[in-house]
Amino acid sequence: MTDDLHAPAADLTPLVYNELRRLASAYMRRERPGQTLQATALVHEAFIRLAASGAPWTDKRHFVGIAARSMRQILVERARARGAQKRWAGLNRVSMSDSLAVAADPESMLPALDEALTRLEKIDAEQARIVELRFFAGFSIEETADALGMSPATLKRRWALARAWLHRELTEPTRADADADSPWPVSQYFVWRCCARP
Amino acid sequence: MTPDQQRRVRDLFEAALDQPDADVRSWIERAAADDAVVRDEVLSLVRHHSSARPVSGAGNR
Repeated sequence: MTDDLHAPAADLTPLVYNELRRLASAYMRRERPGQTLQATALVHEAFIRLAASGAPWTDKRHFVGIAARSMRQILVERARARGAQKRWAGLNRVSMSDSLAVAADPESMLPALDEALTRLEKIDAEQARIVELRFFAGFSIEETADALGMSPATLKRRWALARAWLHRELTEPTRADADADSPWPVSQYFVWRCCARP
Repeated sequence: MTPDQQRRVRDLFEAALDQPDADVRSWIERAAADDAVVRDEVLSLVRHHSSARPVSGAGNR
């Protein structure tokens, strides 16, 4: 039976997570302050390395789902370790029109995004997967659609829905228990990072 | 919201993306006339979709 030949998805998670974490650590040691982690490149590198060592999955789709979730975990853990505020008060000082300055400190909002994503997951797990692939793994519309087995047109609509939902969650204090006086910078960052992509 | 209402919100939101900006509000009010919870949720999400649109020059460093 093929079931004996292929480990269940849960067993592959530590393998993928550890490989990505190792690659990410190596990358972070070399990075300059303010440099963005190249998540997509790390995911592709991990795939090639694990495939070369005979990793037991049959298709790349399976891999990228696990990898995107692992990248979410790695990036959020890294942000928390660096002391990113649970609330993003640190971004208050950044002008709302200065999107590059906001983007230079993207980690501040990752814990809040992670928590919002966990809430979204309970409503619609598929939307959470989309955000992991697009936002945390940096996949294109086409790559994400392929990974989830849907058409790019459908993916675009669902991605728009997930973005709108998260935007509301991160900017409306009553929903996300955010600081009432700092909705704009996060919104601006989110626009820059999530929405300004082709 | 029930799972059925969530699905309806999703479908209406996605269909609303095809409506011209000027008509979208009245389109949603008609399409969800029988369910105020669904209607308000779709209107709210569409509003946030508009404010989450790209700001020119902000992306693609």
